[in-house]
Amino acid sequence: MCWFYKRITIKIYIKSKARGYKSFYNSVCDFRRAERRYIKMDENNIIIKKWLENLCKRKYWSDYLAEYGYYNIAIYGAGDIGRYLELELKDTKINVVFFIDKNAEFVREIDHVPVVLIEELPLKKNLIDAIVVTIPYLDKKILTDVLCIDSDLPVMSLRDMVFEL
Amino acid sequence: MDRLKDNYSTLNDLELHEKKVSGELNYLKEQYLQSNYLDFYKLYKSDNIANAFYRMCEIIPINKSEDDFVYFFDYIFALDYIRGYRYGNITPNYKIILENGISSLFYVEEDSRFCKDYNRILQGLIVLSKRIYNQTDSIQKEWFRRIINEPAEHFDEALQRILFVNQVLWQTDHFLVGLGSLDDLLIKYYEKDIKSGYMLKNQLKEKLKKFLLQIHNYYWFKSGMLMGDTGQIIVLGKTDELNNYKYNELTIMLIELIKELQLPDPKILLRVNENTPNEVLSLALDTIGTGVGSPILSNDKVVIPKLIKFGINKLDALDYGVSACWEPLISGKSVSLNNMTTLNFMRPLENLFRREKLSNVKSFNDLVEKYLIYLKRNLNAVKRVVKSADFQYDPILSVFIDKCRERKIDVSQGGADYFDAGITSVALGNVVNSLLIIKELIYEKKLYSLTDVKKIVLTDYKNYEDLEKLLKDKKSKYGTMDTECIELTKKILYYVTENTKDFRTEYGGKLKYGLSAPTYIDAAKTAFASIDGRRYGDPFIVHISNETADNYMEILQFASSLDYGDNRFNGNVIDIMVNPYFIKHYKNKLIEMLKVGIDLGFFQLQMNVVSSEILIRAKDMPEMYPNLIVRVWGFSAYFNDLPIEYKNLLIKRAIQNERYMS
Amino acid sequence: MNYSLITNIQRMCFSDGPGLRTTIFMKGCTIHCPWCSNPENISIHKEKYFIKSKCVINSNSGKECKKCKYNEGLCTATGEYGYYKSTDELVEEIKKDKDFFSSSGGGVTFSGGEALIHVDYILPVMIKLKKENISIGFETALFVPLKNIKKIIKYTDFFYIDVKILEKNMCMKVLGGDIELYFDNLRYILKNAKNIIFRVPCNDEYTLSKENVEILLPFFKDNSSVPIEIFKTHNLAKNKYDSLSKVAMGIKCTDEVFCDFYSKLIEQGNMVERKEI
Repeated sequence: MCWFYKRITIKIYIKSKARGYKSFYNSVCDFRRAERRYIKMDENNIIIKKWLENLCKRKYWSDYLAEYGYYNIAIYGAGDIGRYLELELKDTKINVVFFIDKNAEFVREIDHVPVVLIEELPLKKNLIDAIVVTIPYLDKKILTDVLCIDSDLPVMSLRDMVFEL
Repeated sequence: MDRLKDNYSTLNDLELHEKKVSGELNYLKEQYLQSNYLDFYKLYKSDNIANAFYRMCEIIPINKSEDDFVYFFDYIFALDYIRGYRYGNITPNYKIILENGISSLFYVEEDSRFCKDYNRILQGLIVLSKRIYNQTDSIQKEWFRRIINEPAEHFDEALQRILFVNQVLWQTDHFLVGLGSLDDLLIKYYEKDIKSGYMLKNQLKEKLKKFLLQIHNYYWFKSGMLMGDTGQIIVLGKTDELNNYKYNELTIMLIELIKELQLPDPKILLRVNENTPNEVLSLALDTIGTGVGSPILSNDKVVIPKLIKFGINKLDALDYGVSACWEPLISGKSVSLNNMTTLNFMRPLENLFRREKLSNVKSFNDLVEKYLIYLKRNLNAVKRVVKSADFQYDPILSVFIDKCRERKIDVSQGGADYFDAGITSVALGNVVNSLLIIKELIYEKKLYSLTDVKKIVLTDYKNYEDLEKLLKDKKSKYGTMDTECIELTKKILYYVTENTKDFRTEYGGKLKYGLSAPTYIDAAKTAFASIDGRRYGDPFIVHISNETADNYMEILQFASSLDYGDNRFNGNVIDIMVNPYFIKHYKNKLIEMLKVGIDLGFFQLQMNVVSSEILIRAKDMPEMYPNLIVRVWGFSAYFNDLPIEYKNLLIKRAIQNERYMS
Repeated sequence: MNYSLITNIQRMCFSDGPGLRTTIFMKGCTIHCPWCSNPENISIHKEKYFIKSKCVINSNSGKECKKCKYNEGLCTATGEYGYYKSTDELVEEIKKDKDFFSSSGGGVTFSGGEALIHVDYILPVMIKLKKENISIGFETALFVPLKNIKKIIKYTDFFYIDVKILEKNMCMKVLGGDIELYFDNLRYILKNAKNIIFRVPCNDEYTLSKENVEILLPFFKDNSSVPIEIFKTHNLAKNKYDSLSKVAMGIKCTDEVFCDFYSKLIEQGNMVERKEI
């Protein structure tokens, strides 16, 4: 991929030189901004693409989570991906106990599953075996947050796992 | 601005090299304004690749150099529209064009799309040759007249044809184009010319030197991620069926030239076996001793049987070459992509600490079993990445790969003899060390708990700074003859094989892996800390190496004790740092050591001959050392071209090495 | 004697004899050269050390180790020079590199300290190694009873013999050695051993002092058939001295004196090699 970027950079470079741009960086900055947006979109894109592939191949999250022996889980992130995950796990052996989301005060409940703030986790941690993180860019921060609350609570990232089914 | 620079290393490269190549860039600017580039761009975006290639051959500006050979590359008309997974890291079969004129390759009947495209490519090549013919004179004119209809006859003509193929492949977006066994390929022309008195030995050597200099051209543009990563590797030496060592005058001549030229590129790989004469090894060590970084040694005694066992024809196995760095590859017959992705052994261990309920892990064996389960999950991901690669339709490469013509099948659809998939692996050493340290600290001395380790890993040694220092001082067990370490390493290796041996790509290629990878810095940038004293983002252990051992025997013995059979032969390089003083004074002893190592059975070996003192000075004052060459990944590069983290790692390793060797 | 004190087993020693060699450093010495580069090998007993720079708790303060929680196994700053090894263990350790020895004509070199005071321990090791055809050498200052040498000479392939201070009074005063004993031993070895190499550690103050050079030159002239290695003494062992709370003497060797000595030896027809150690 980086090879590809290099080619693009060189192209931009040549073009900017050819057109007599004052600053080479202006044109590259534009490119960088677009690229960053692209990567962010791309992360979600990857999850969705691979998830769809899994579904087509009859590979389900419920079986995967059961492999670990985690039957009661919390989903971190009550956005689209989180909701779809809850939908897929509905009526399987995996029980979604609650969502964790920073907007919990506005969204109290999704599909009869309560939404809580991360601050409430210490009270509820005994109800669950693991937390599944659906936000690809936050997993490292969440990891350390949860580590402070309970050092033995597994935190799983959907982005990593979606390849492993 | 600074932030931008940090973020974007290629930009950095560009800035660094702007001064160096400013002339070239001005040329580009002019070209860009004058050329009918946009028409061309539209064409190859919309049309068939064969037509685009033909069009390119028609309009590409011809850049004659003053030198004897014609070798040019045009950035603007590079055929770089991505149509799928690109082919690279391969060596074409130069013999096809040495032993045939282009026109003798045409299909008589164009009964399939492939045949049509194939003929179109050949037409393109002929157009290009004719254009060069028209614009050159004297001997060059003769060469490009003959290339259309006749096989090569003379040594210099053969060299020109190799350059021609090489140039065309670079021009058409194939990266890391290898050079193959030049000594074996060219010796017949060489001997003929000497015999017939066409040229004297010295003149031929001069030609060869010019050839190498031409290959070194466009160094900047050919480089991939890192400056110097051009994949232009020449394979020298050979083992025949009776296990004799075969080499010839050209072998010696090429090594001597590499030694003389002191350029990081092209580089050589020297195949050796237990019968390699001291003369060759001595010359090789002399060359390494000059600091040029090559040759890397590849041990035929181990490599060939493993290739045969994997299912490669014996004659092909005897002829093996390598991909850009070290992964064995059958030159001209194989389009195996040997570096499709990297298996990071550290990831499963990280995942274990993130995802596992640690209270369930009761003993060390439990931990290892759990680790293997996570490794299996990681392997699933790797297999999916490999499987999802959709190769681009590539009739250009098909022309230069054996058997595609006879089979009338494109390389991307399984036209070549071998099309396996290769992956590299990284951080096995860190994992083995980590597991053994966990065993010692938690299960034997009972000083810490697994939860402590989890905290250390996830918080990067926060509140455990003292422990970090102690662990950093600890001698690495990976790369020693410690029985526990070897057992654990083997267990993990066999487990990976167990879980990859049934994998098949779309056309039936197998999956192979090896223990060396170029990603020891890049893959580690986002890796959590590990309990062997490595902090967040610090580099992993480089290939198979152990800087904390006070001798080279241990690492040779360790590497020889591993089993590279089944699918584990995709490059297993020992990487050692050697002080220049050492090679200078103890060359004969090093040769003895190498010979024993070859006999014991190491797979491959590369050396970095540098002293930390010089590296540190070169880091501070780059302008004083413009030609300092070091070896990174599996190639040589100018020290000044490397990103700062590579410089730091090299300095650190050199210092470590010197401390224990003094 | 089944056990003896060893401080270090160093593999891949290129400078201690032919081929690839393993050098065994035995603990205990009969003399005490002021320039000694292995001060941990002088005493015959185990010695505690403390390397300040490696201590993670208080690397900046104090010379003594203040006990901390890492002392139980993790600490690398404290420890003891010298460990006991049985003859069998030692043979196993040496045989690790057997492959490397046989082709290069290498083997094992016993050094120290003074290896020849441990002959009762070394002899069984030598007998076992000889069965494996491994070459054995000694590096010795020769201030040992003659009977020790007689015991091992049969199995020894070569001797590195230190030539230091040959003047009787100075030898006793500086090194604490009896020069008569040295010459007796030397005569015996010259007569009975095959390969001998003289080693001269050079420094301005002692070995290359005017008086000593005057004795050294005729001595080497008399024994001109024996090759000589000369090298400068160095101060690389300062850390070791520090870790033992001893004071390094900081003895120097200037290029001028060293080269002068070298050329004089060449002049009188000795086989001399300059080594950088």
